[in-house]
Amino acid sequence: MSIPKTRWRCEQFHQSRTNANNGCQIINAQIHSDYEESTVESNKDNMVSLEKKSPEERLNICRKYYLGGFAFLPLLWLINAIWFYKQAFKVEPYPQQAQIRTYVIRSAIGTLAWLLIITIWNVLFQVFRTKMGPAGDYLTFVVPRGYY
Amino acid sequence: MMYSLFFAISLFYSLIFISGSQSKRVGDEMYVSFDRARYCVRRLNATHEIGCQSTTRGNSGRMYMIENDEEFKTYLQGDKMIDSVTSFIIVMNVRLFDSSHVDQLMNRLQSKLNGLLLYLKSNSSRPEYFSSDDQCPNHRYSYYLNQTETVNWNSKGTGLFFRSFPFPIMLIDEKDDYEQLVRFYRQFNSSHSSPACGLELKTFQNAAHTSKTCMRRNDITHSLIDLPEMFCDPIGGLNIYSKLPQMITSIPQERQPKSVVLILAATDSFQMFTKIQGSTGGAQQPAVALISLLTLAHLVGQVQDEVRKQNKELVFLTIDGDTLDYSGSIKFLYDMNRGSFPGGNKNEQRIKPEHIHSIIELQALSMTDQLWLHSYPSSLTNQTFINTLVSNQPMIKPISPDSPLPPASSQIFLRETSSSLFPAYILSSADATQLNNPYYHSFFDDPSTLSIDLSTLEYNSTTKLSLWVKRVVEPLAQTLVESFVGARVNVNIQQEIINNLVYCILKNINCPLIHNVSNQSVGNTFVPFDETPMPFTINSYPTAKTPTFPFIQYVLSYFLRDRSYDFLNFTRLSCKERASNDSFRSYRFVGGYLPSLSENSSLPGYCVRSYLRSVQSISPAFVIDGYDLSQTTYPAWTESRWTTISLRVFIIPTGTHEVVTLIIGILLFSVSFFVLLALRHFTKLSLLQPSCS
Repeated sequence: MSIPKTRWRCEQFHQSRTNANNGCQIINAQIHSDYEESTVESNKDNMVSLEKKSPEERLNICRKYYLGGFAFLPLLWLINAIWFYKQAFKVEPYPQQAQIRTYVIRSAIGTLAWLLIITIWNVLFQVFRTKMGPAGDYLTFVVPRGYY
Repeated sequence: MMYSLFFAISLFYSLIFISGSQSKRVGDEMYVSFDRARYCVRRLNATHEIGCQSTTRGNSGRMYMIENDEEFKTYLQGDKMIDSVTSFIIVMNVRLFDSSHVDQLMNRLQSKLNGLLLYLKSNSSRPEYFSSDDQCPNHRYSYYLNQTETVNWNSKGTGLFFRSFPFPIMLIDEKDDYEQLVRFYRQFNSSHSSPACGLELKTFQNAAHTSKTCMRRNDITHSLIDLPEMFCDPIGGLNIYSKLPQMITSIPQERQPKSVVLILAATDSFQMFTKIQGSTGGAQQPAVALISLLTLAHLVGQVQDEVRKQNKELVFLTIDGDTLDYSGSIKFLYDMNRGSFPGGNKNEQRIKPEHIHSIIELQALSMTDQLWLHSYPSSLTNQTFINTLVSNQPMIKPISPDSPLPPASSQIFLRETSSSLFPAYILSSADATQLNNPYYHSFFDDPSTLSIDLSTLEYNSTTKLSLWVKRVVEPLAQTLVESFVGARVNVNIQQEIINNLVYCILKNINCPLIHNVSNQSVGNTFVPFDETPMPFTINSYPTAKTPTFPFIQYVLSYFLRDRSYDFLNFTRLSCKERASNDSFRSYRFVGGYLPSLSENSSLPGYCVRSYLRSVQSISPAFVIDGYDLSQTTYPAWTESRWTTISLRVFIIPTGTHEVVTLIIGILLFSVSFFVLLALRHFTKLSLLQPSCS
């Protein structure tokens, strides 16, 4: 919301001062830097930028996600693999990159494994729910009304 | 200031307009609903599901009316019509509802048949025969008696009740509903291009697959706070039995073998198309049999002093739940074999099959000129009894013993005892080959088939039916008392009593008879059923709020009461005190039913001393611990639960109409985008600017 205000401020300044051009330009320049600053600030408020972190911090984050995924949380692995992919393979090498690379690869493997397990279970359940007898009904969370 | 004044004035006017206008919901304007339609529900047993099912939102389709066979054939041959429409709801005359027509429709239309709506044009145009029961009723499993030949007792039966339909079937039987529907149909279905009428049938049933699955799902719940959702209920009501209260064999007395005569009748019937408020059928079977049973009980009560002198007990029994695989009788015999008949008091000597002398059943009585006495087996039947009965009432004709028995509860009594312990006699209008009931087990089986005009029936009116019942039951009572108890008495019942019974059971169960024989201090449980007859439908457990069982309990126990108490002056309190001393019998204080009392007694209130027991009649399948409901040892019928039933008519727009609606919608959609863009461009309102945070 800061942009409209500064623009308005600039126009009012333009009306009341004779050497308005200069003042306005300065303020224009200020607006530009203001914008960038506010962008950077707002980025900082919402998202973590890996470029701003030191390599140790990056490794730390990657490791946390990797270890957290073992608690039956495959989404953490998925996020880990996608987010740190650029860091692991596309950026110039730095000392921690090798470790980050192993984490990313293992996270990717874990994600695929989970995907396989979930897909297989989903298909099995849908095909065999009625053939399992009572077990099928006890495993169903929302028991269907009106059909078997 | 100006703005706020303008705002206030516009608010004031808009409030006036809103309160003055009659707002209607668009949905109500689109549909016309029929609330008095009958519907078909789903029932399950151990192996199958029967009945009809719709989707949750209702089955809808284009309406097509078929009045007779010619139109039916034309419709089936109309390939162009059938191919151009995606789903049909066929509206068919109820006369065409049999398996051949339904099968032809289902084969021709396959999945396009989305529902079936039957109609009855008027009460005077009923089909001559209408029965959805099997041709040989109650013959599905090995519950029946192993008889040598299969007789098609119900030769006009279509058997459609026991089929499973993937679409809903409903029926409208009110004349003005039919006329309204026809008006819509003629108005809109004139040609292909005009908009057509569509129907929506919603009869969603919760239950599916078999009783076992459904009962299992009843108990599944994953929530900590919600109750489990109910899917189905087992079928069953109450078996009620009563006898003279003076004759109780208590331990340590010994009950003599062959000392109990059971007299029984059924209390339920079924229809394929049910309705909450409406006739439930069941007049010829079992209403007349029930009226006869109660009349017989009253006659026995009248001569109780003679009957008591002998040592034979006459037990009157009503069985509920026999229409579907004899669940009630099977439960009764299960109880008897386990030693819980008669139940309720541990000190009463139990009745086992060896104590039973014989069974007399009243079944399928129509007002025919001849009645038939079936008996089985020939080795145990008492020919003297049969001869006496025939001589007392020549209307009754005996059928040669060992002929096949009609569908009756006695079959189960005989089967469970291998036909070796006691004979069974069935008094029925069914002759050797036919149940003479054209509307067996359908809602058409109402008092009009007994020549009773319900609109003019009064509490005291003597009808042909009541005269007929008196003519049949008095000789039967006489024969009964003579043959089994050995006493020669003259039995006569007041016509008024039978008139009152006919009125109460067939027209209005909230009648003076029941008020006079029931304990009014607990409140009148019959007021909610004012102006409704006794319902003869399938009852489910837990026992629904049907007035059938309280009525039978009160009336049967009153008719068999200890008549010596009619002359004793009791107060309500002293009557209740009696109950604390006597654990076998029940005591209640009632107003007194005048036609039943002798002229010598006229008291403000009477203490009724009677013997009454009621037992749940659900199948043993639901009672035995750990019984696998998929076995077929015992019948396991359940009825599904449902919530809303609705039948609605609406207009299906033509193809062009739908395309035009779609195009207008898309146009409005794009126009709204342009308008918004324009507004954003031309105004400085920050509301319309994109935000940067």
